[in-house]
Amino acid sequence: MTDSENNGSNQSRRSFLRSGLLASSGMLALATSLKPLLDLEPGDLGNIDSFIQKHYCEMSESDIEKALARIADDVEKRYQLRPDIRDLKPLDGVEFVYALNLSRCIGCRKCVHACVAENNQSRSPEIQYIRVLEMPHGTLDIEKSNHHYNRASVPADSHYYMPVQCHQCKNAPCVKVCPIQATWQQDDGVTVIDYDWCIGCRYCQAACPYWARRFNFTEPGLTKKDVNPNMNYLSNRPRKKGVIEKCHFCLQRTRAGKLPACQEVCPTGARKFGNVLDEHSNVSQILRTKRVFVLKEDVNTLPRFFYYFDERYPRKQASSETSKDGGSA
Amino acid sequence: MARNRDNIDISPVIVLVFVACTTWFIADPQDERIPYASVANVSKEDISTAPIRTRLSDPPMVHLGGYDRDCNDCHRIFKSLDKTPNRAFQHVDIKLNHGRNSRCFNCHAKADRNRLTIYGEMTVSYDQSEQLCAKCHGTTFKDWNRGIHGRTMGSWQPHAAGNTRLKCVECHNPHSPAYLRMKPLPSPHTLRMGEPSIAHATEDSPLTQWILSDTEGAH
Repeated sequence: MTDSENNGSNQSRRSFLRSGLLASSGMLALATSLKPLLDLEPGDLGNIDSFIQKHYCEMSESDIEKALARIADDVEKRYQLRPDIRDLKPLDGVEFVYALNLSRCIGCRKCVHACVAENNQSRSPEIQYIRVLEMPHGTLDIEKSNHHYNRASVPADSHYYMPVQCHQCKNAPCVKVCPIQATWQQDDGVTVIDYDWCIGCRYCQAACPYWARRFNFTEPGLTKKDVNPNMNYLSNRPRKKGVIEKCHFCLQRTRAGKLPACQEVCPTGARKFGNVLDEHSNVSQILRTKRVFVLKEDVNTLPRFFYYFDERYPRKQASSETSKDGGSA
Repeated sequence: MARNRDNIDISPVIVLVFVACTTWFIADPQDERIPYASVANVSKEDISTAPIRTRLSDPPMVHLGGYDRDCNDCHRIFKSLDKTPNRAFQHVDIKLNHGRNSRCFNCHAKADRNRLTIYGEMTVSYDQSEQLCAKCHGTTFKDWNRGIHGRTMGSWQPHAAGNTRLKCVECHNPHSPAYLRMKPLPSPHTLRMGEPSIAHATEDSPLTQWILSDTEGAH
């Protein structure tokens, strides 16, 4: 500065212009770097109510009602549609269990897409709770499976299909690793997530041996026409960017006495769902009478999701008999 | 030394850096790097819970010559031959592919065509066709009775109102009972959020493996 003061007026004008240009281009760069803030919408920063909201387990009845009203308003603002949002509690004397018949599953993926339609998942980027693994006959090695199969028709020869979704483990690793208890197990055996409490650390996703959890890396791509207005606080209400989600046995349906969407859509009846504490329910009878196994038994997660087989003749044998009979007839 | 340093003027460089930053932020090339895949093309019919077959009425009715007629309307006039099934004029669309069970009168009651035969003179109505299936498929019938085989709709509570169990013929064609193959709904996007294609796969990529297995594998 002392130099420029000592020099003539020309010098000081040049330095003025120079520093002015520097400062204005700097301001311009700073302003444009803040450009993403322009894309924010009024609701994006969240309101104070959701910020000071307590953990689900610590909320009183009135707190929950307030939260439900807030979520309903939020959904209405985002999707121009008033949801029927409830907070269904676990039923007494009920423990949900899923059983899946590997002999019957044909790998049609109807369950995958019925689940997406029911549970308000993001369509793009795609979030799906169920993965249908196509496995070659004679192995249970998941490394040999392929869930991207795209065939003209299923079931393919010498393959079987194993859908995998959240197993609602009794000894759930995802619950253990959550640093803030945003995910926990309820009395009917369903592991739920408080989407308002989740901080998005994805420890649970890493801990799950069944790859059941999905993370919202972006704002979920859900359009108005795809929204299912039958919502529940701990299950299928719309999620936001940065939270984890997973299968919850369709709590909004099952706690109201209905069946999960994946079960009801299954065209072969391979999926069975029921109350394991009721000894006459279909799942109790399956556990008693069928050959049942759980996936990755060695990791001791004690899943509430069982796979079973029918005992029947191999298909090849049956078809050769048919042709023999047809020839002799 | 101090004089020399003052002679080197770096301010144009700084201005250039700032302008470059500005263009970078405005152009926002990072935005395009987020791969948004297309939405899976699934219609409401694809995930409909309706049964794949419709049950016949009891007795089965056929619309012929302007009137609804049941089976006996024809069969009391046209008696069947005792020997081979003669299907030269009627029921030519029925292809019997039911294993060893390859005779019409194994299931259809000869004397009363509106009913199905079970054993000897015993018959059941078309509404109770599962009793006929149970004749051979006893273990499956037992499973079906316990809710293990077949589709259940409505509720998981075994005796809830609005709980429906589908009958055998709502999934299986009794003349050709093997469950039909169907086209699977779209596969999930790959980890790179695109349609599965060879272009996505490099040598080390796990995607290569499934592409190879899919092209080599038996279809």
